[in-house]
Amino acid sequence: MVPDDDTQTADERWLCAVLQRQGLEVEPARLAELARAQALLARYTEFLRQASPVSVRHLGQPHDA
Amino acid sequence: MMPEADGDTPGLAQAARALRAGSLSSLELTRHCLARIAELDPGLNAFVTLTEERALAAARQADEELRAGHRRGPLHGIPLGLKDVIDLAGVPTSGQSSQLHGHVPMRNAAAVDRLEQAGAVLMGKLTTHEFAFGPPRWGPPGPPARNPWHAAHFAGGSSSGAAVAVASGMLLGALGSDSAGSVRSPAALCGVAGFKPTRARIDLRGSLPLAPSLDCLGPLARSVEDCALLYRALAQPGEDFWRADELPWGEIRGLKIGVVRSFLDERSGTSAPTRTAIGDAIATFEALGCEVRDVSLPAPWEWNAAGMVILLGEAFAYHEHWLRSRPQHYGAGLRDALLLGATLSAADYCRAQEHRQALSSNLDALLEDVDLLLCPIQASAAPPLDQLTTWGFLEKPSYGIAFNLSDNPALSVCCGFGPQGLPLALQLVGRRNDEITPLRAGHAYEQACEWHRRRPPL
Repeated sequence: MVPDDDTQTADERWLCAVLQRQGLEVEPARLAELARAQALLARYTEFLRQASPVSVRHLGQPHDA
Repeated sequence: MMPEADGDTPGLAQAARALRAGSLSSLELTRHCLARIAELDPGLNAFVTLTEERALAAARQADEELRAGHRRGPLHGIPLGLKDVIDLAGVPTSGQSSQLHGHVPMRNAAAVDRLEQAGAVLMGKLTTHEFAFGPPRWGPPGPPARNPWHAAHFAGGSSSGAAVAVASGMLLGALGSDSAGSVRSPAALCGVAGFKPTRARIDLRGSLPLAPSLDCLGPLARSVEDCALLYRALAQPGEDFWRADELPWGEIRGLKIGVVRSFLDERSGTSAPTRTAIGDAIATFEALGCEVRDVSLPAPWEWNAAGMVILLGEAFAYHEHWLRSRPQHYGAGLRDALLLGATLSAADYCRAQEHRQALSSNLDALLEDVDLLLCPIQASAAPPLDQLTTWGFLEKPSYGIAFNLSDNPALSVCCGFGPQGLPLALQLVGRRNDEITPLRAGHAYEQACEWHRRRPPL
């Protein structure tokens, strides 16, 4: 696991923590690149979050909204 | 008859007719393919494992049966290959990964059983990307396949060896797998036909999973007719099935074709040569009497959003154990891609499935008004291998994954050649469980254009 250090960005620290919690590791030299990919993936998950009709944001709508 | 007078390999349908007539033997054809493999494969890397003795024995058996009048169908005596994620009993399935070193399945995949029952001559296992997903990999267990039209260019993925072997005449057909375009994209970049049927049509048992809710098996061959013969032998029988030797061709006049503009316009990322070639293909379909009109679907990136979250989530679930216990046996590119799946939440996955349903309903509604959709399968011709980016599957739109999400049959057909002489392709998409309509339209298009008759400069 990559030790937490001051040179890591917030995204890299978050990624390390998520992986560590699941017993997974990323090679230190590949951390920045993987964080960049995760940011690309996050654009997709954020879009899906915004597009989803099933959320307390839509409380009061019928179940099949 | 020897394979072609000019040394070219015959198409599958043509060879089947010659085998039936007795003017060609399976042994001659198999030896011809083995000679092509010996000559060309050192530069193209299509094969992971060549099963030469097994193939020669199968060819001899086919000849004996054919001479005795026991013809099993159009694949009897035909040399074919399998992407190396599909089990062939007694032969390693590597998945192009060190993780599977020494893995030799005891039984055939269900689809391989069907090919053997049809009398096919199985020539070996074909190059893929690691577990059908990683980027092309130069390290062990093998190098990436190279495009026969230009060896410095990408052959597509992940059924790359299948497309290369067919395009270069090493084989007459091959079976690949397709979870996000992995049959159709390499077929497109190598100038052959590739067909992804509705998922349940070809039994997946005995093939390595990538993303179980997206995975399909599908054939690649030089022409749509050859693909249809392969599909017919591979598929579970259905009510719409045609007789093995009588393909369901005929008039396509009056067929309603919807052109998916959001997949084709400049904002979708397609190159100018691709747009021009598809524009010409649209004119050809109009000349054939089809009613062509524009239709609207959400843009490719929106399908990619749902598709990649589902694919990464399901692939992570499959590989999680080894990512923890032996991560060093993955190539770095695949390991990183799989780790992305660990960053997704259950809510992310559920929302992606929910969005998939909405997108698929949208597509189903379109296909009530038209018989077929037409769109690109690749943004452009094959890029140079050294220009591929690690995260291309997240950065660039996919034109293939949409129809894995919606589970519609989709066919990739060559529709011209770009400035460097590299193939371009279009995609024809039918209604779920209507495999005949895209195959029939693709065949009619090929007869009108004959792009599929061009051969790589080998």
